[in-house]
Amino acid sequence: MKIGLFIPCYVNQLYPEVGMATLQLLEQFGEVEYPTSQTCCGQPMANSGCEKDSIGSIKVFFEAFQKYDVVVGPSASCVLHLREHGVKLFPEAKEVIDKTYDLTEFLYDVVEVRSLESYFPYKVALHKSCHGLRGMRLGSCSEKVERLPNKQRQLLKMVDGIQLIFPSRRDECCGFGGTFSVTESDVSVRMGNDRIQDYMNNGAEYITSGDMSCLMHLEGLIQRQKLDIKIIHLSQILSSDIKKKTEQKAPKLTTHA
Amino acid sequence: MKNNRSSILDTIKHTKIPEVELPRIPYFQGLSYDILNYFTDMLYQLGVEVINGENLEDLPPIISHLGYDNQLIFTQFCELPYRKKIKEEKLKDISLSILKGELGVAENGAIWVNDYKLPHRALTCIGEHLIIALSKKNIVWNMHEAYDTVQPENHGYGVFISGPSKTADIEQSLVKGAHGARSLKVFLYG
Amino acid sequence: MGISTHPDEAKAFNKQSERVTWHDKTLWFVREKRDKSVHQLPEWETLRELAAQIKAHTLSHLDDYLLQFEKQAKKNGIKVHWAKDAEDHNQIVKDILIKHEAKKVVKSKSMLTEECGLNPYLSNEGIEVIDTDLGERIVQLAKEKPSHIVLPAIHKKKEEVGELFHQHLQTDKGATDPTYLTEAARQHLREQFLTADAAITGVNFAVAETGGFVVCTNEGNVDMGANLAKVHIASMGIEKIIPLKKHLGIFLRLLARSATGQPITTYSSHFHKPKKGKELHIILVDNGRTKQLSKPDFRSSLNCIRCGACMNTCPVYRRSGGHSYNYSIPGPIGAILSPGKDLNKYSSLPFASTLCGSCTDVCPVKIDIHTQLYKWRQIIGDKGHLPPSKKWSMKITGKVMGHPKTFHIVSLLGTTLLKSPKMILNNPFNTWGKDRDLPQPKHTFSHWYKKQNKHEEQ
Repeated sequence: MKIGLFIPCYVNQLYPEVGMATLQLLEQFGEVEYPTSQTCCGQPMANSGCEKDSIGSIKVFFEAFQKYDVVVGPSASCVLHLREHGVKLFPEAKEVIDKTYDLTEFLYDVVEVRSLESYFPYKVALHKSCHGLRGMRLGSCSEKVERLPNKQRQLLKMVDGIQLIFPSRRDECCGFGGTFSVTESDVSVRMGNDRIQDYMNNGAEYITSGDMSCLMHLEGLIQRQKLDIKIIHLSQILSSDIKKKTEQKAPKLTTHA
Repeated sequence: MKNNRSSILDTIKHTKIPEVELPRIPYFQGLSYDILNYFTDMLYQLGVEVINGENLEDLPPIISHLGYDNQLIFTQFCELPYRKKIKEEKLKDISLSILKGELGVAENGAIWVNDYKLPHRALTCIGEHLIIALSKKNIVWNMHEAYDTVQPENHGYGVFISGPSKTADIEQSLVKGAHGARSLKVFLYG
Repeated sequence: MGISTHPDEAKAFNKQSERVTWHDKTLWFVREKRDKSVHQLPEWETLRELAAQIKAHTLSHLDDYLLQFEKQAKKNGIKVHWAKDAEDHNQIVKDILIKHEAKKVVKSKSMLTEECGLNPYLSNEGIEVIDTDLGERIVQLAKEKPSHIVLPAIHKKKEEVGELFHQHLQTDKGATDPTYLTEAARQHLREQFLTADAAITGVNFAVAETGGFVVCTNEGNVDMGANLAKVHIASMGIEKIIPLKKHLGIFLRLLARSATGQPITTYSSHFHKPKKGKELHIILVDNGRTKQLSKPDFRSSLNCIRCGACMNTCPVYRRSGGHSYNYSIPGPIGAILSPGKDLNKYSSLPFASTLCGSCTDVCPVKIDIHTQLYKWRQIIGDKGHLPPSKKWSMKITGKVMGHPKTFHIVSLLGTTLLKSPKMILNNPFNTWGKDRDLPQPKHTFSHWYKKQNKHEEQ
């Protein structure tokens, strides 16, 4: 399987380690390539009311990822944006967008990972990004009367040593919201601080999420206030310590084929 | 403002809206086999006191016991020894109204009351306290069954009542007795 | 210029941090009650779907159902009026009141009369309007507007209500006990009910089949008002119509559970005919609804049954308060209804959301609220109502993202910039940096990847 690695623009710039962790995870399942001509999914423009200004980036996405069997990115938000709006804005991209997955979907639904050999001995709270939860339905949200598998939690449960922490509000938004974080910064900051407090009150050492954008916002607040809690992307937990273990023995990940 | 009517209707007529079919409403099962128990539990949760009895004759001693004897009591039941007719200016002095419950709904504790033999519509709410007498046979599971049975179109006015009048408009603190009855007792008989 | 925007109002609200905490918690409490109540019904999602389909069907035959309703209502002895806009509505109300020489009117909660500005209109005409819903009476005495459609005084603390009642209803100075204050309001409003010349109510559902309508309250103020007064005027938006009596079963199961978590409101009052010797009027109001109906992307916003669940769930509403929306209907639903009324005035509202989608999932009639927020943003962008800074930065970003080479140069500059002292980032014009840091990586992922691959190739 030829996997195209899609790294969101801000992850590329600000969180290269998330890109590395994702690459490392994906390499278990096929030949991974990172097309360096990729730029951005176009969401920042579109959510600001300028979706037409984002057509160029969708075109770039289409051209960069055409040749792969699947495209995987560590961001539900960017992938969801392409699905919900990308095809409408640039219909030619449909074929590529149809084979584009968020990392969680890829691991849980496409290659059906059911066990991992990673190790992360910390108290971790899973922050469910809204686009992953309510957009992609990676789990059931508290508003609806439905029972869906919580895919990210299932993946985390496969990690040795991890202790999952549950906040009192199980799926409230962190307040990032793209340009919302800047145009409505007072509410955004307040929402972020409330989430952090909830995770801290319940004893979390780490906040993890499938979306780095939520974590970037939360980390910004944590660092400024020098709070005693850290953020880490889901891919980093799922790939943690794999390297050390795999140097001793293979295979690194097992799947249900 | 006659032309308002045609202008609104014309605007709607000229708006092309794709036809959407009216859905069929499926049958919704109850959550419990013991409908009476569920109903009384629900009333209890709504702050309603339930009194069980054999028939209406059991009511007067209970009302005496509750201490209403020298007060103004209205009732919709001709078989009960209380006032059935009341002058409008006296409405505000009613201590207790005893109304006839036509139908109880188990899922939400609502009881259908209508203006049949009700000399004044405000009698559903103006008495300081309220007793609704309901036959145990007349309880259905949910609102779908309720609307299969009750016929609001045959009455000028009817109301589902599901407890004492209440409000939580001051800091979400629940307070009973906003404008209507301060308390509701349901007399279940039969 | 001169239009106060949501961010401005939200900023002001957030100056009182403890109040934000309180406001958020109070509404979250209501949302949790709602959750508990709906999770007891296995058929909840089916009911939502049915309600959405019934509403969509009704909107596709709205003229037929309005006519059927009118015919049945008239047969029942109800007088039916039609109002194109707020002004028509208010005038119709006034004419009825003047005909009956009404000087004092008791009004139960009606967001439509709020939308039409009925209270100030009538008081200009010398007619006293008493709002009888406790929350509405509180904001009326305080000379404010409701900040929530179900809980109009949710922004007020009991101390403030106590002070207000002390001034207006002569309660004890410093008294704050909700039971005591509610009792005072009961006594005060009983007097009003008994002496009012007319009653105005809203309408929750009007049934085309029977020509009757249903109004839902917990306090019983509709029944007190409408049943005691000589004249009852019910104002309804034309979208409040439903085809059949049996549809009430669906909507009444959804409404109160969504609004407050109650299985049903205390009073669900059905009016079909006037009492002998009295008058019952219904005013069918358009006021922009047919305009919204003509917009396929926004049509389903007319499904709204005014439960307020989208406000209780909205993390932005809870932390900015209902007044920050400056519209009669605040919160997410207000943010998709208001631009249809005045795109320029309300252009900041569709942006008062993170598009988290909670409003859509909580909505009992399945309005895709967050999708409509996104769509309004595009219209606002297209019609040039965006702040210039945003418009141009998005144009430039779009250009950069559309050209990989430019993007990589800019992204290199970006990481260099981030390495500069925090002072630059944290300047007062940088809203991100005012409260938040950004990481300062040594290199970008693509830089690392290229280096790695070269290394492997060698």
